Amino acid sequence: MRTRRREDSSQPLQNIQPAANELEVSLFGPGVGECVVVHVGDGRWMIVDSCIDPETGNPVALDYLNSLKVDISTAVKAVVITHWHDDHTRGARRVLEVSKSAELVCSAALNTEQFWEVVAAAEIGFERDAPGIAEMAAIFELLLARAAGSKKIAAPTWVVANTVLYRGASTVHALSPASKVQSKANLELSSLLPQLGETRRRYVRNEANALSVALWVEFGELRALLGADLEAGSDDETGWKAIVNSTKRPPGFADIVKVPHHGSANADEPRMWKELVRSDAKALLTPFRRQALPRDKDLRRIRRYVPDVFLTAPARPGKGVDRPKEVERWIRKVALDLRPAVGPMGHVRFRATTPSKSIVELAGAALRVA
Amino acid sequence: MSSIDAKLFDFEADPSRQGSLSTLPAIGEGSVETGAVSKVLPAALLRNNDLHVRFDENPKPLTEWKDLGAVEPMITPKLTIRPRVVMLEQWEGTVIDVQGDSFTAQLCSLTSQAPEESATLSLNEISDFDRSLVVEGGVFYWTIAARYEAWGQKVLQSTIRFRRLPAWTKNEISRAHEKARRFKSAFAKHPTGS
Repeated sequence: MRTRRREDSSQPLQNIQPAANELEVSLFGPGVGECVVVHVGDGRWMIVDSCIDPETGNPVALDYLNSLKVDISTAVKAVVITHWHDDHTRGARRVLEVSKSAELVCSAALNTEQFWEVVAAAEIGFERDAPGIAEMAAIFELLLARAAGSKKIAAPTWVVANTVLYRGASTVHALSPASKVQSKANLELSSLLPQLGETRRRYVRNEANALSVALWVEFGELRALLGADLEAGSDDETGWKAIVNSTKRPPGFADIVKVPHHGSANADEPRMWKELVRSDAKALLTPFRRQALPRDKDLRRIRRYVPDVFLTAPARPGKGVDRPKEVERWIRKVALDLRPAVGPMGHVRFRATTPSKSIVELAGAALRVA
Repeated sequence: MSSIDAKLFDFEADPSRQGSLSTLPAIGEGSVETGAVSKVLPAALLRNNDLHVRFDENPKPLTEWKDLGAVEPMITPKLTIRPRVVMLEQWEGTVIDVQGDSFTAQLCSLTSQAPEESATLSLNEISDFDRSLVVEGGVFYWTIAARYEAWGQKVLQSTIRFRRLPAWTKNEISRAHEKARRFKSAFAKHPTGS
């Protein structure tokens, strides 16, 4: 990805590693989906979700860390798959394969009989027809292959709300999933189980957002809230409502927030912003073009919470695919709407040593929301 | 010297069918050097340099084409006789959501390297035969093509056809159960969290 500019400066974004005591949260997207790369201190890193850079065809996290000359095989300590949707898992197997010292972290809501059945079915019967689930199957096959000839199996770390998943220069907590979503997860996964004689369909369900792993990073005085695709919740015991109502969650206010679910209205919980986020925090988000997110009204709403909002790329790219005019005319005749789901991709990088010493840098298609 | 890609029609064999080129079977087709038959072939029919020559069922030397004067050959280019369809764009689509009289889908181009796209399509574009397949996860093919009719008329057409995916078999489900047991025994015994 080509570097474009640095926020509040005309200088290009530098490919220099952060200082040992410097928090970095880098957000990439949309490579259909998104990826967050976090420096958790002392040269150690955490990768949250994965997407592919359309220019290089590689997982964007690997391209970026390689550009910083980070030894990925030893420096990445955790690879978190917040949920199994393909816009958060593309390239995750490759990321985990290279990150040989990393622990795989997954939502405990997936650690069920039904999930294993669905993953196995995806591998056998769907192949590319279920990209999100198939990527999960490939990840578990990788773990099995690693275990071959070894007595120790590198099983995933299954996390629920209020779990600490990393301790070092920083501490990383899982804020979700709430235990109540387990039954919902089972119900959803059961509906995906193959039945004898049933016609196959691709897995495109969107309900898995309730299972997402939202993260809270404590780094000295700094706090980061990474919202995954977690939605507001249908009741007080699920989604963001469960988090803001929790008495067990870590205290403090975030200096930076990865806005949940691409800024959608159904992920908006005003108490999240009021009780977990500083009023002068930086908000970062990626577009999700399959659903044309975020909409203009979503961005206006987020800007009412915090003044500084950054997008990795425009929600609707101005230019679509180049096609002959006669094809374009026919597309307009048949389709009510047609828009690119990927590219151009951008990078928003937040670095800080203290809440008052932070910088936001932009690369690629990233922009500050005016 | 250039050549001509042409068909020959024997009107002497059946004089009553003169003028009905679209139904008269050709007695020969191929490419000939223009100098050899310049008296009988209109210059407008000059084509490429494909020199594959076939005449009736028996290949004959090129010089024999001149001897067909008694036959009075009529020439027509192949393209204007045979209609053909040229695919301009084709996507493989997956239905993401169905809302009212429209549905959203993600599209992957099968004819170019274009990035994945999202589309909203009207159910009116779907044939009654396929309507029951417009469900979440349904797979379809959307084709925009140019059809060249006889004598060069060009017609654009759009077709959306849904794919009928195979049903799960007993063997596949059995294999899936076995694999699931393998995953579960390896990974499911390690719960974490509080």
